[in-house]
Amino acid sequence: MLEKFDKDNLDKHLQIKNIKGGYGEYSVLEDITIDVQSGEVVALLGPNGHGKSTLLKMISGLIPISSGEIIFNNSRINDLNPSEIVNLGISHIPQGDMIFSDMKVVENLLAGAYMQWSDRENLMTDVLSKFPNLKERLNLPARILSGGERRMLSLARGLMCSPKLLLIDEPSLGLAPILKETVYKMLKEISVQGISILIVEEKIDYLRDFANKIYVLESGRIALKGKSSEILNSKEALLSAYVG
Amino acid sequence: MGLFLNTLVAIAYTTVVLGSIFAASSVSLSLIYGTMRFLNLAHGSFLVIGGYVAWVFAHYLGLPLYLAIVFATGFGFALGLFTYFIMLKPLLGIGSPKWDIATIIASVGLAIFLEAAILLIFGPRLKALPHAIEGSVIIGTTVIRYNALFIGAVAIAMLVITNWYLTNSRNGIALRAVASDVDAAYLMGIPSSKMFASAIAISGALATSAGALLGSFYLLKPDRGLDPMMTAIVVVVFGGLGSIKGTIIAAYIVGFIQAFVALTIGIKWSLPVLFAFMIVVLIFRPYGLYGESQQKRI
Repeated sequence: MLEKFDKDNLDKHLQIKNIKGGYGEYSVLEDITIDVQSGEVVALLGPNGHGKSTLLKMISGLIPISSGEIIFNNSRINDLNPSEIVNLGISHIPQGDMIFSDMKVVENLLAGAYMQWSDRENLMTDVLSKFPNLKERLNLPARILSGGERRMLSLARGLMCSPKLLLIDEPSLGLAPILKETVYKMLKEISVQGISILIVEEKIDYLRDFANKIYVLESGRIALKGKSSEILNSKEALLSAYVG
Repeated sequence: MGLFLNTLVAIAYTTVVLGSIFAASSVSLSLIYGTMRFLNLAHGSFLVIGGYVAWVFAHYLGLPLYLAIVFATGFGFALGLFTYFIMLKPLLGIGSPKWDIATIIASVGLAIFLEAAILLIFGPRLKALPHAIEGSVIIGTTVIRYNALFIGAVAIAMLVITNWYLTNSRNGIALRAVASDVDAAYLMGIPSSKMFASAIAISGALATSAGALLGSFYLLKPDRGLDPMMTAIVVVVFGGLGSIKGTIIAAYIVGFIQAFVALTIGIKWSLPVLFAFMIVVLIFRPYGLYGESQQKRI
């Protein structure tokens, strides 16, 4: 149950306190503590298979934590189900798009507005102003979109629930360099509007002038943390966190 | 009119009427398979129950057929919810890795139970539903009954309403999102358990109303659900498991094959030819008309 809940509170603060957990008896994360301030972009960096995506799934309620707590807007959320978490303003954009391929583009967006249905038309107008390419493809089946368009649809769908915090899992994965730049340009525009972002990346290329803070995960633990400029300029520390 | 034209009119008439009923019946089956990978082998019993519920309202309360169909639809909605909460939700709760086989066995059990219950309550004797509209028109040698046209029109209206619901309403879009990717839908805040319950309730409503329509076309008998269920399975597989659009198109093709075989070779060859046709389709197009490679989702 929520102890304290004020949806309109402008303090969109995520606190992850000493959480542990994983899949059944297999523990993936150990003693993770992370803060995301209002309007901040925080990146989770690290090699593949070290718990970054698992952490996002724990925040969005897909995987239970075994200890610790997750607090959003001063409310404990780790006992809530995904619907309640989306309703609080946390939107999870998963790795690999996961768009609804056999539905139209417009239906994908409407599905994203499931928790904000009464406001769907305003949200649609707002989202399409950010993604004009999708506007021309609204009535096409999502399966015929190109890789870049699918990624844009995934981002746009994530914005249809009017989020205060976006959890984004490897938005540049599998995209050509020019499309990666487009995706990050879009993410910067989203961030400028005051939406907090917790982003998972394996590569550091696009984080330099995007993320405010970086946490490096290694074997389910935080190996390194700090301001992005400090972390990305410290090649030795980064190498040691990655290679061990 | 020549023999060829007469046969053509008869085939077209039967295709439209049968195809529309098959479509309504098969969309019911396809909807829950697409949403929760549940092949409901009690579908035939749902059809038969629809006919009997309509008969009760028409026979004992003297309601006209269209109102009796409305009550059968409501009963099917409740029967679907009952099936979900009594049978499927507990199976989902167990999280069985053998979901497909567990639900098939459970639905066979449900079918046996329902058929026995119908036999116990209504007895083995044939029963007839009243016609909505009496009268007919003759084109060539084909007698076109107004009641059959009414049945076809009601089935088409049901498909239009279902399609509108699935493509425009909040619940319908969420239901299709769950059918497309249950994990992604969960991330949008769409509660899968609520969508599963909705899917089977709508499926039950479609099945019983299709059963009432069939009951007005043929006579009612407790064990008469098997043939239309087998036809619905052929339609769903042919259309592409879980694809509503494919199911509707396949229903009319199957309706045409059944009409053609019945009017040229003989009615007893309808199902054998249909299954032979399905085998050929599966060899050349394993996922049906609009189907995709299936992945486990529950």
